[in-house]
Amino acid sequence: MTKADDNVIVEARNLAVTLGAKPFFRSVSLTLRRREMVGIVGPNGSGKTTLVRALAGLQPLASGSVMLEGRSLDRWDRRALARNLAYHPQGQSIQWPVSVRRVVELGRIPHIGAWHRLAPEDDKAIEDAVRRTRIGHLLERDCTTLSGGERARAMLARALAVKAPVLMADEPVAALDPYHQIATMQILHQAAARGDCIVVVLHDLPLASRFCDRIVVVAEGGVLADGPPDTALSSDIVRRAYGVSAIEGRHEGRRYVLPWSICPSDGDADG
Amino acid sequence: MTHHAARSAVATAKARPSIVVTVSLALLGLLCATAFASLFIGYTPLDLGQVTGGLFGAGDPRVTAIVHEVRAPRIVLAALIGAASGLAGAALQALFRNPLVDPGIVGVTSSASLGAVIALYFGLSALWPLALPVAAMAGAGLATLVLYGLAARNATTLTVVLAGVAISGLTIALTSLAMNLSPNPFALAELVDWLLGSVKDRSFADVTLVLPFMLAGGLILLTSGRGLDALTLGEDSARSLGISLRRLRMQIIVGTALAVGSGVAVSGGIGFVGLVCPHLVRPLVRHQPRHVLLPSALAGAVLLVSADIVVRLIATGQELMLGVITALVGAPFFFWLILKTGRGAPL
Repeated sequence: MTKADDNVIVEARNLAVTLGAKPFFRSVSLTLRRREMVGIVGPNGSGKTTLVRALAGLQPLASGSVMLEGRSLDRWDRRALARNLAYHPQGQSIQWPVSVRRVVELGRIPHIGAWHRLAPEDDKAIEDAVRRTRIGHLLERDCTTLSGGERARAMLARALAVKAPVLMADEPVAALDPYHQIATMQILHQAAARGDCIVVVLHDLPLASRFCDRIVVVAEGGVLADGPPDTALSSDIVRRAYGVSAIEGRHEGRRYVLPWSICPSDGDADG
Repeated sequence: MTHHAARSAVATAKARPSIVVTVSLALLGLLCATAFASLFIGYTPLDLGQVTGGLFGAGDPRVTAIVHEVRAPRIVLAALIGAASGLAGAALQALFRNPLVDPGIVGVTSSASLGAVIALYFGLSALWPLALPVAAMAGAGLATLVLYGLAARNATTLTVVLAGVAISGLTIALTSLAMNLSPNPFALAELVDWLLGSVKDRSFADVTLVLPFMLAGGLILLTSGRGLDALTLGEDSARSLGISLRRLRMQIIVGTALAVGSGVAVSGGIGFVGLVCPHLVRPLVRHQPRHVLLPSALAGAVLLVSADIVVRLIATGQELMLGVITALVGAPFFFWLILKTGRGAPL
């Protein structure tokens, strides 16, 4: 395989997850690299969330293993793992009306001691996350009163504040308006350009083809396609994965796909 | 400009004195004042000189006896039990991400009560005075063990809450059974008296008996703040921040059993303090779970010492039971909370 590739940071081998008695997906292998923004797409129920949770070490595996920097996730110290792999769950609810500042600070939990003293390094990380997500003016606001777009930025800031070299975000742009969708994708893309490994679960194929360096299409209990957007999101694969035909085009040198209509022949594509 | 704004905004957070320290000191002052006021109240009226004289062992030895052996123990116990309830309530609400949870909900209180009732029912407490507290703590320990068994199997917090409800149901039924089968009216009266909850006629022997358990439980709960903070964003987020949910759940269940179980052992079931206190202090400390813990404990102490003043002030033929008062105030509060939660208002 790619042993000489120094950029490899996460390596999943033959992952299998069973939910109840039913195998959810089997034998999924993925290699993730630094400076790479990987989009995970696929129809509803295809296991995108389960796959990222497995990659983040949050999902019990039936078989296979996930390695981070060459070491299996279950052999990592819990806190050290949290410092190296940040996870941004889908639709996080905030239980208490704490301020945005407190929420962003939570990202430093893996770094600080039991008595919760923030070191200058923590302040720098928080400051950096706040600047990148442009929420400086929201810091004293009660989190439960934010608009959807503001909330998404606060949550993203929380994940960025961890300063982990790997960030996995599960549908960070769900339910956001186009402005906030693009803004969020730009922030993630910049993080990848800085050298991080970004994994992002998406439903929006135009956004995926526009911003991701690589696309993993999850369908039919496994990985249907894995590669640059141009090949992994070909019309053929989009039809097989989603049962829809897509319009393709090019703008500013980048190819985009836009799902357009349901294919009449593939009636069983809904998962 | 944005950069500068972010920098200065982050910097101001450091300069501000800790809000928890301020709130805690204020509550501590309030507790001292309430406890001191409580020394004046009782069957024998005492004036300022007598109380201070009695406190330091000067003056009339009978007054000293009243202050030292009658009033001080009940005040200290009320404060300890209130603090344990307030702390456990704050920790449980944060753990379950549910503002309606109380130590009673996870079944620790009722299991401790059952243990004590068994000791009373079989007359063990007559044979050995320590049987009552020991049985109550054993009951709390047993409930803890069942809950821990579930938590260890990585059950969701909802499962743990439901298990607590089931444990409460079972222990209350068994307690009723004991009362149902009670051989004589005196035994029944003793059971009822105990179940209602009170700190009347307790001694420093009771205090020294429960103090180690309460301190251990309190310490375990107070050190859970980081995990509880992480849970603000849900279980997956907390785990991804390096928090072991299994350990956190166990920590809180064990801490609650020690602190609340030992309290029930000497006072019977005094409910709702753990439910109410976190809500009282939460707005003061800006809602962060870690910051709610200590102030909630202090508020619990203030609340129970005050309630214990009220039961002695209300002139009825017989002194009111402390558990009755807290339930009369706490239950309507619970209803109000349910209505507020239903409307989706921030808590």
